Parts: sequence; structure tokens; C-alpha cells
Amino acid sequence: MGSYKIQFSRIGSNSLIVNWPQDISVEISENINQFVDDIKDSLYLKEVRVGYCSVLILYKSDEINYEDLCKILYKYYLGLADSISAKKYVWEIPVCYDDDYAIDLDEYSEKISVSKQEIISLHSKKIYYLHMYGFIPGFMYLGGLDKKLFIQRKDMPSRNILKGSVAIGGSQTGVYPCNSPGGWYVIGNSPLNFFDLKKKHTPVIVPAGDYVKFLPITKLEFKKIEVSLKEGKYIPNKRFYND
Amino acid sequence: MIEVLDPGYYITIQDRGRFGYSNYGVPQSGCMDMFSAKNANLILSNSISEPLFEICMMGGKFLFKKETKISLSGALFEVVLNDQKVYNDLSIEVKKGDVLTFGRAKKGNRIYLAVKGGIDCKSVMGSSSMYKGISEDFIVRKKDIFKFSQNPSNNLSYEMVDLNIFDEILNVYKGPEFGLLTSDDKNLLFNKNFSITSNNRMGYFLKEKLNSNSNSIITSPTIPGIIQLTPAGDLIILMKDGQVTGGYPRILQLDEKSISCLSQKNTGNKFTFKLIP
Repeated sequence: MGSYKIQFSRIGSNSLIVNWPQDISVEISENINQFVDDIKDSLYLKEVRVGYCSVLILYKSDEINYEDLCKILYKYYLGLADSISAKKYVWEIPVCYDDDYAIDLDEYSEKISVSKQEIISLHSKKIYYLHMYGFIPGFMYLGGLDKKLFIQRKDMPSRNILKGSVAIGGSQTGVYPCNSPGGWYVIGNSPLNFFDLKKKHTPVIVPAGDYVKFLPITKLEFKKIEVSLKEGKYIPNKRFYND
Repeated sequence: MIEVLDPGYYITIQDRGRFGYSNYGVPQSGCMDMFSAKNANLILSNSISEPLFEICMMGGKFLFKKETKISLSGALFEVVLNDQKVYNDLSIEVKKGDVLTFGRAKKGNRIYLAVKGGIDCKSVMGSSSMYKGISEDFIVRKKDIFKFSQNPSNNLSYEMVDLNIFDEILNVYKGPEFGLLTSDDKNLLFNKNFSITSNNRMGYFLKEKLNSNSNSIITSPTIPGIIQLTPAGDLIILMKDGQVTGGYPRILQLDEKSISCLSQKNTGNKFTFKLIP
């Protein structure tokens, strides 16, 4: 069931964009992911990149033209199954909000006029939907941040945000999977590896379309998890998601 | 085998790039100037997907521990084999013990060194292109030793491409958010000279600005060659290692040839944009 009005537009000679209504929502992301799952093995496509409400497709322009490809893709869209009943999980991601890791928490707390305690409580209470990966390998775009925690990105991005940093920027929260420059406010750190090629099947922990919940931990627990990760013994907790 | 005696300013191994993993946030990577890289492989009758060395700006010294054939293509560097000058776009025989030394780029920015049969380099997620956190290493280092592959060519219909990689006119298509531009800004884009402040494999940053604007978009997919406009009016051109999503309006898109041409430009170089349908 293609329940949204989608629009195709071409960019350049070998890529096109499919646009959904320009809005961030779980329903649109679910619809997009379902569409991408259906088309991704098509022989005409070189690469499919996903955003909150659009998909960018690189296609083999020597094998198919834009108009014909759009027709094929639209047929796929109309043929999507009504709903997906796949089980969704909520993944528990441990985060230490201690001042040692939360390097921007003081500044952030002052800027949004919410106490540090309340920030931690608001941030760790919510369940976030993983819309997609992007930016850098293993970076999760999480939706569902409490409105009280919204903040404009830093005017000047920080040069080096540490691996594992849990941060807030705009209306989003996420975790930096490796050291990286970035414009978000760092409020904690998670000891987990969010992009690991040594893992079987998938380099990431949480599949796109599942949910994330942050679990506050102490510095001591942080160190313990680090050790058990090194020994290959750590398995993140997950439970079924009920709407 | 080939041993790196001096890793120069910035040398990586690249191939056609990594496709199909952007759903994990993994960028495309691959040769910045794909046209020159293809030519370097074709001269040796290699498959065009063979990994080769991408040598940026200056330097690099290689010792051959086995005889083979090599080729160079792309920027014009001062290159000597032992003490003999060697030139681009030719098949060059090298013997065991020969040393290939790169000086500075005289024209352009990136030169490709291909080896007959290809460089034996582990493929990760379908590509040998170096990228931090994906490939075993992200840069070629002193004392690195690479084996040669013996891969046969499987090019069916590829021909050498004749392209002026030093062209100062870059062809652009309208980007998805071209419509957000004011007519003032459109005028600026196609009537002004632009120049480069800095560049790397992720992107090119331009000196000339458009007017500041408050437009931002919901985080959307990007590809190499996309030109983003920041709220401050700065222009950023995403290249092969560029991030797979972004929140700045995507106002223009370079065509494939112009991505190669831009890759051959360096800080201070000038160019103009030409809109193509």
C-alpha cells in the first residue's frame, strides 16, 4: 500500500530522489524502510541512501532511463504490503552522565534553563526511534527527544568529540560512534562500540526501525562494561517494543 | 611487491568505491578523479576496478621488489624512475630494485599509480578503498609493503577517456533545493569566479559566499558532487569520502567529469560553474 503521495525528481544523469511529505515521523520512516527493502535488490540500482523523508537512488544510467525507472519504482511503491508485523525491539544503551564524560552538560543546562538532574532524567526516560544511520559510519538518527531538551546546534562545531559521546543537537539526540568533529552538546558517554566490523552479520548494534533507550550508569559500571566488552562477554539488553 | 620508502604528503589506495553500505552511514570513497584512475588501469589492460595508489599534492617514494609494468595518470608531477624522468599515460617497465620518486604536483592535485594486475589489498564491504574505521589502515605509511595481484582484465567495452581534467568550468545540475535560492544568488553562482580555501577527500570548501540565508532542511541523503549551502552562505562541495546525509540545502550537483576536474584543483585555484540541463 503506497499510502503517501511520493514524488520523483532527478538529479544529474544517474541519480534521483523520491520525496515523501517533508516531515519527521515514525510512520514515514517505516514506509520508507519498507519501500527500500523492496527495491534494494533491483539490478538497476547502484546505491540507495535514506533520509527522514526522502530516498536518494544512484542508478545504472547505461541500463535504464530515468522515466522507465520511475515507473518501475512507483509500481513497487503501490505494491507495498499493507503493514509490517515484524517484531520491534527496544535496545538498552548504557550511558554515563558523570561530569567527566558530560563535557557540555553545564553549558547546555544553563542555555536551556533545565537542571542537570532533570536533563538526565528526561533524556533517559524516553524511548527513541532509530530512523536511519547517516553522517558517519554507525551514527544513529534518533527521534523522540523531549521538547524541553531542544537546542540550536553550536555556532562553531567542536573539533574532536570523543567516541561514545552521547549528544543533543536541534531536536535530535545521538551517539558519536568514533572520534569526530561535531556541533552537538555532549551530555554523557556510552562504552559500547556502535560500529564494529569484527561483528558477524552487521557492524551496528541496533537495526534501523528499532528503538533505543538510554540507561544511566555510574563510572564504575562504565569501566566494568568496558572490561566485559574487551573479553567479548557483553551483550546489550533488549526487549520487545509494545506500542 | 612494492615497498613504500616515503609516504609523501597523503597517499591512499582507492578503487571504484564502496556501494550498498550507506544504510550504516558508510561513505562511498573511491578515486577522487575517477577518469584518470580508469585511464591508469586501462593503459595496463587492468580491470578498471583494480585498486591503485592515489597520490595527493607531493611526495612519495616506492621501491619495486619485483619486475612489473606501471602507469601514471592524472595531475602532472615530477616523477623519476631511478634518475630517469617518466611521464603520464604510458606503460612503464620497472625492474627489481627500481625506485620511483614523486616530486611536487606541477599542475593538478592528484596522480594515480597503477600496477599491472592491480595492488593486492584486502577488500572490506566490497572495496579496497581506504577509509578510517573501515579499511585496515586509512593511509599508506612508510615501510608498508604491497603485493601485486594477477587479476586478468574484464573490461568489455571501456575506452580511454579524453578529458581535460584541468578544465576551469565545472558542469552542474540543479540540486534538489535549487529552488530555495534567491535570484540574486542564482546570478552570483553563474557569473562569478569561485576559488578553493581548503580541500580533502571529504569535501571542498569555497572562499566566495552567497548571501546568508536561514534555510535548513530535514536531514536528507547526499552523494559525492553535491554542493551544499550553509546558513552563513558558505558553499561546500561533498566529495568521495563525504558524509552520506546532511542538513544543508543541496543546491547543485556536479556531473561526473566535473568531480574529476575539481579533484585536480587545490587551494587558491579558480573556476566557474556552468548550469547544464
